[in-house]
Amino acid sequence: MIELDLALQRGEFSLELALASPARALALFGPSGCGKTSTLLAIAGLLQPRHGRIAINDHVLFDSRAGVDVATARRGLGVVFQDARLFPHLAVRENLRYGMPRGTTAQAFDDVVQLLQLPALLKRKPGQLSGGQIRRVAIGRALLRQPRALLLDEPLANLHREARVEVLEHLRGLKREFEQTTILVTHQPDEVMALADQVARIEDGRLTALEDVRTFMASAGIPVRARAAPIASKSG
Amino acid sequence: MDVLTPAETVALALSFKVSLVGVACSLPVAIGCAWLLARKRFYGKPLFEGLLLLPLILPPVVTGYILLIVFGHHGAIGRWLDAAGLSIAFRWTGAALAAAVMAFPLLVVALRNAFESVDRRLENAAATLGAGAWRIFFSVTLPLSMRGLVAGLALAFARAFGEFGATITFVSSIPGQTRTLPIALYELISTPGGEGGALRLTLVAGIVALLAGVIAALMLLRGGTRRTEVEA
Amino acid sequence: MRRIQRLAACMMIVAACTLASATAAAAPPTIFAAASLEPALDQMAHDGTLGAPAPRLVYAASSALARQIENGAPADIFISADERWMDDAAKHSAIVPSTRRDLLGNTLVLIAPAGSHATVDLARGTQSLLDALDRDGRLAIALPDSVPAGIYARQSLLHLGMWNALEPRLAMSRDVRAALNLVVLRQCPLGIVYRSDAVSEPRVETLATFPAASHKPIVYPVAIVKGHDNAASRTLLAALESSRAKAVLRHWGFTVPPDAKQAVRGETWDPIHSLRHEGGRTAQRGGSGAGGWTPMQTAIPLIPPSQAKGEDVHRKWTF
Repeated sequence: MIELDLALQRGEFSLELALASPARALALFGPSGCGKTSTLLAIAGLLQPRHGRIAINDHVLFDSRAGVDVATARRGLGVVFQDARLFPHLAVRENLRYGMPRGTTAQAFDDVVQLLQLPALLKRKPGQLSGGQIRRVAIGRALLRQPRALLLDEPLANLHREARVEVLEHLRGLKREFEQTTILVTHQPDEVMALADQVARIEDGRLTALEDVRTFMASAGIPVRARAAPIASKSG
Repeated sequence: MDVLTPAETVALALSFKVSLVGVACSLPVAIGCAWLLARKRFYGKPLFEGLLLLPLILPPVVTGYILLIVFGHHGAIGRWLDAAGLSIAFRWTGAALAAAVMAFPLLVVALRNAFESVDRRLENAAATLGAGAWRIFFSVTLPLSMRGLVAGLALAFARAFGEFGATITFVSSIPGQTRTLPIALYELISTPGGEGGALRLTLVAGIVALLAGVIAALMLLRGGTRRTEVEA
Repeated sequence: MRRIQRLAACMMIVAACTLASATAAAAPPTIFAAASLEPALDQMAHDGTLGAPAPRLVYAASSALARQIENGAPADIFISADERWMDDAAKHSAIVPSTRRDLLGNTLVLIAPAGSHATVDLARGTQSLLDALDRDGRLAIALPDSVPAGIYARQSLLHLGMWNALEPRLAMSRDVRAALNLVVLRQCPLGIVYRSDAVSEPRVETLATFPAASHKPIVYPVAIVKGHDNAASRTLLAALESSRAKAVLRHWGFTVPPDAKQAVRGETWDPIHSLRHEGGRTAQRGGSGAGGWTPMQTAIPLIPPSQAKGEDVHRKWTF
């Protein structure tokens, strides 16, 4: 359950939205500048809303009326930033392990590494990775945190075609493997289709619709059947 | 082959000891202050900064005098040190304190610049991964500021090594305890016929300073740090 | 056209001359003087003893002043706290030799912070001083290799056989006023300074006076700096030697050469006369042993004695 009720001011831009989503994977969809990234940052605790309430699976992260504002480090979230933000001085392995809770088994670590096809990269430094590889490591790092929610900020942005395909496949794989609450921020319909169960449309700092992904796809003019196929397929 | 006289060698060794200890003691305080300046906003920050830079601006003799009346016998802090048997008056530890105080501003400025150049977005990312403030500092900020830190240390060491006015005013000149290389140099140039020894010591001091400068330059100029806008 | 040009030229010359004479008249003479003379010379400048406009007074250690003058510093008159540095200046042709003379003298005393209740009897030997220093107190002196007050202190302690025991207990300062200050601030229980310093500082008390025989006579030579030998400098030099100046100097604890009209008092000083009183040693200054003091090796001297140029024993008296 994702409960968002927040009002936020950033310079001249103001954002106000309230929603409660029972979906496991929620997409915040809208054009750039509409406030979706700000929402994500507020959920992560990196931006403070003026007032409101944020709760994920009944864990209250922020409640201005009750005076609750959990520190970022204790919100138990895994954030994949648009610019990945891998630590440049640490190898891939150390990056992955950075947020891992104590007691995570080696098996769990290996599972994620396998899933994201990272074994060959473990000893490399971020400076030696391609764009797609960096994204995968960032996703793995967030996942290994065993977060109560995974926050993805435009996970496929600025990737060239092959990398997009690659990363999207991995994300789909993750969705199948883990029952992970996910909040996805994007302006790309194909990402929404591949990963989300429910879609919150945001425009100009306001929520314009909260709909099931099928409804979303229909209004985007994409046949329902296409969802099952990989993006790069030639079938139409 | 004896390049330096025994007295000069004693002074040189003492200078190294005093400078290393001084800078080492100065470092944790400088790190803390530099971090506050780089990452925190608080009331009275400009005044705080001004105070930190004071040893750089005050005439060294004045700084030495302040050290004397605070840490010397019967001083505000000195009396407690004396009572505990930890007196630093007229001891090499006093010379180390003088060196530490004089080198401190250089260290703070260098460290602050180094911390400020670390991308805050990386620190935020570390926070989302569960790292508290201390862990963020030691695992992200500090490692990424290493170049600036080393450069600052080199400069601070050179400053401590060459420290004269505050030292001789605070702990005077005592061979083997407080007569550091600069003080020995001063004594030599103040004595007719001492020019030869003075030249030798000048060369030594010059080499140390040059090494420090080269290290600092290598650290600061190679692989420039990227500054990016602060964003959440 | 021509007339205007000539007029302009004349006006410029007149202006330049006026400016030059005005500048010359406006710039007062400068005295570079040893630090210990500060209160006395300041008073003389203030009360008109040194004429008007009062000269500019620059104080520092004699070593620093001598080196500066040797390198062309704009001083008119140099007063050194010891002969060595005046000799050095003379060697570098920085002074006018014919104008050199001994201006005043001083005495060496042992001091303690006021109210310290310490008693020291120099006749009873080193132990008396060591007792006063207690467990970890230090004896404050000026640098004994370079600062005159320190040089005299070492000579005295050597002569009295106290140097070896006291050398590890010294705190050596940049100049005699810094040494005085250490005693004033109660950082050191004992110090060796000039009587002129002790007299002008109420926060210290004099415990003992070092016998004049235990060190070379403390004389402060004065000379006009080369290239500055003019009427103003000569007038100033005469003013420094006037009886009014001498009175001020005596007031501040210095000793002065006798004046023709001066009544003989306990503090007048005659270098030749007092030396003869020390058992005729003047004639044998060339060597050690028979002389008033015997320099001994210090434990770790900065300058090996073979290289040190100092302690010139052949000295011409100007009186």
